[in-house]
Amino acid sequence: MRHLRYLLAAIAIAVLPLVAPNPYLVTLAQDVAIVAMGAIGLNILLGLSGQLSLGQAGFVGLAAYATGLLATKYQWPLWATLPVSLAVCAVAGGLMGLVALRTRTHYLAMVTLAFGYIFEVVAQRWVTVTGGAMGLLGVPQLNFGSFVNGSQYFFWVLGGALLLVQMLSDYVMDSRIGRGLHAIKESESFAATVGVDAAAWRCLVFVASAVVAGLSGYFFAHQSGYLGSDAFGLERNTALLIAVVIGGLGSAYGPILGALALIGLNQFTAQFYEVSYFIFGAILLLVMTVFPGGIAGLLKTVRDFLFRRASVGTRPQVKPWKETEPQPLAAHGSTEPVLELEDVTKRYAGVVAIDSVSLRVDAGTVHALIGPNGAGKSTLINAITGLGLADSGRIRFCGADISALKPHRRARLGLARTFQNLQLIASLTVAENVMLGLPRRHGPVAGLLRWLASGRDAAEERAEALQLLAAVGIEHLADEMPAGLPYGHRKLCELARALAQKPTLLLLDEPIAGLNEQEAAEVGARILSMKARGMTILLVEHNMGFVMRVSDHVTVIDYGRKIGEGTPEQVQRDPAVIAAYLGDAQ
Amino acid sequence: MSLLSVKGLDVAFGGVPVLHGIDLDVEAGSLIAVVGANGAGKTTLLRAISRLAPARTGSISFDGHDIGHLPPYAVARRGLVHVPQGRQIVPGLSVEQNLLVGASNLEGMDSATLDDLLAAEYARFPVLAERRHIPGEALSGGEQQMLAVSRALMMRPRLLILDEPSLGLAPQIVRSIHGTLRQLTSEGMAVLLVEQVAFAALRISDRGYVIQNGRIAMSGAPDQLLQDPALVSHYLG
Repeated sequence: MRHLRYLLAAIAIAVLPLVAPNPYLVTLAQDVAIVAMGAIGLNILLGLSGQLSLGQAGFVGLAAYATGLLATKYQWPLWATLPVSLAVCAVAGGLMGLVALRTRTHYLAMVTLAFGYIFEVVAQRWVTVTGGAMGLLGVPQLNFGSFVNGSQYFFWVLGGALLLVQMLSDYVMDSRIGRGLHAIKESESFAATVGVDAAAWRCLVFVASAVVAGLSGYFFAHQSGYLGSDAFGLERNTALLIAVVIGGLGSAYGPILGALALIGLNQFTAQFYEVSYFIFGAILLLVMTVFPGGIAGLLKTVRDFLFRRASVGTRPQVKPWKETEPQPLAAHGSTEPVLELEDVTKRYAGVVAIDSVSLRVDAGTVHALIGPNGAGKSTLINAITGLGLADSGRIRFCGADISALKPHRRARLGLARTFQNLQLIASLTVAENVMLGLPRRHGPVAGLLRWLASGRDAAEERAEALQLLAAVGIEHLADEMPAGLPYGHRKLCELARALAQKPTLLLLDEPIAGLNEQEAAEVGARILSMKARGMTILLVEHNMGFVMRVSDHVTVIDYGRKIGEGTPEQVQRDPAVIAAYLGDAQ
Repeated sequence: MSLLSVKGLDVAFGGVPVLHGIDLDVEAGSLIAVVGANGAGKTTLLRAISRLAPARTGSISFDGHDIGHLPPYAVARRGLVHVPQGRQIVPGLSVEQNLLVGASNLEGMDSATLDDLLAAEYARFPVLAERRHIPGEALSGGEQQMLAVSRALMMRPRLLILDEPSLGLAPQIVRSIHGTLRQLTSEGMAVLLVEQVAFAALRISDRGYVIQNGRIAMSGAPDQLLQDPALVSHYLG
């Protein structure tokens, strides 16, 4: 299916210049391809990882000037200028990625906008190098020495490059890379808890989008043979953004559809030059308000309508949980504790949120952590998972000191968690959300090659996710979007994802809040069966009846201090615990 | 007749049922305590009463009128004023500006009335007078709680509802704030107090409700509740 699609695209690219009624159409097709390429880079950056760059034209221009200058001033051949101009963009993209780690959302948009401006001004004023607004003349065209057929050859090379970029983008979207970027977009701290190194990925995705923008700049420079500084200004930045949004932000073929629409509109509005901005603005408003999914979203709606995909009833029942586990859990063999906290302390602005708490969670037990509102439970959980590093004290996990480890490293060691406020990725299906938790099977390059060769990897990952969903009784919801599901089902989906991480220690943050009694009872039974299979569970929960039923050991904290611990019965009778919850009896 | 009467209230939060069939009454001039462990639904109950959270079913009437369809600001203007959990003072505004935030929205407030109200609050909590020009964020937790109570009182409520005013405060400050609430009811105001610390809250109340997992588990005279061993088990299982 996928290969057929690419084959058809390759044939279309090969045939188009031969059947085009006039050369102008080929030039237009070139323009579409150049815009689409830059838009694919922005689509990955913004649509997947949620980072808005208003400076992509700067990367387009960097590569265009790099290749143009090398070719004109130093007479480099064009095959040699390509890697150099892309390398320039990679470095610039990496620097921008480092900046992006310190700025987010609208601040990042401002920073990238500033980069775009600075680039445009330098290109305009540094006349001795760039030729300024008058332009850099005599840039060789990529025509393979043929004036007659050069435009056709150029289109073939450009079209082939676009196809490759599109395939890479498809791979990113299909694979765990794309799911990881979706997770980063939703919440960086959440991404870390499923083992994604958010900082490195955010930086890398900037590099990738800059290199793709640079590739489009390379082709732009050798299309017309002329480079003027005004080609890389705000107009090109907004054009890329418009193409991505009209096409459908985050969808695989949105950039190409958007580029087609943009160039088509340009042709149309050229006749009404005076009101062209007005027409663009109106169309953008229409898309944003009526079709937020863009052209790709609209096509999907039409397709779903025509083929009437079987939709699941509004409130499907949860099936009984299956007792079969997809894989036996890695039993923690030795008798040493799975998790050990030693005098962990955390302060916020002078307030001691956790005050030298020591804690020991034994292998194969259910250990509950309870305490009144504001006791410090969340702070303690964050210290354990690494989302907020402790100021002092030690945390050992299976004997290894993890006190200084980043959260994604702790997750990879076998520390999985669920969240009090569910963290499901709204733009991924239930099955894809579970796949987010599966450990990595291959490196990115091996993954790409296997993806090209067959769809088996993805099918295997999906099969594993379905098994996990079956284990919690919701495999029939695998292809639904989480937002449409009842709360209890979303909660089970999150539990399945945590199990996908094959954790040694599973941290459950209020696993039954919001569930009905039957659902809560099933979660309770599940916790005990996971324990029986050797998993260790750390539980935070307000429903005391539930806590006392499933726990082997309970630790109580209040005002950041450990005030009691023991078996459920001991804790229930402990006067200090009663006072913490109900106040002083006197 | 009760000043506030809640009947058969069901509230869901993002599709999650939180409260089930809550019946609750507050008589004029009384102090009613609602206690329960965290996660029981206490905050949601207060948010539903002040209309910040939509009720699924059930009725809420205040002073004989159904307020179940009013927007929150209209409820506040009728004299049902909510002091939210975490105090929610405006950090960048001075103490005095914080005090005026609510009251200056009311009809019929001239500057002389506002000055009188300010003077009354500064007399109630002298520490606020000392700090009237300091930004709210610079106050200590206890002072912020006093400011939040005073800001609500500036609106001359007939019913004051408070969400865990004792949270994170030292015991003597909690006693002082609870004492102020008791004082207010003797002046004719009604108070609905939500607390986790059951013993302290029940001791100052006229009647108490214990909620557990979104349902009213017990209610009645404070002495009777305080002596019932079931009170502890509604917290600790």
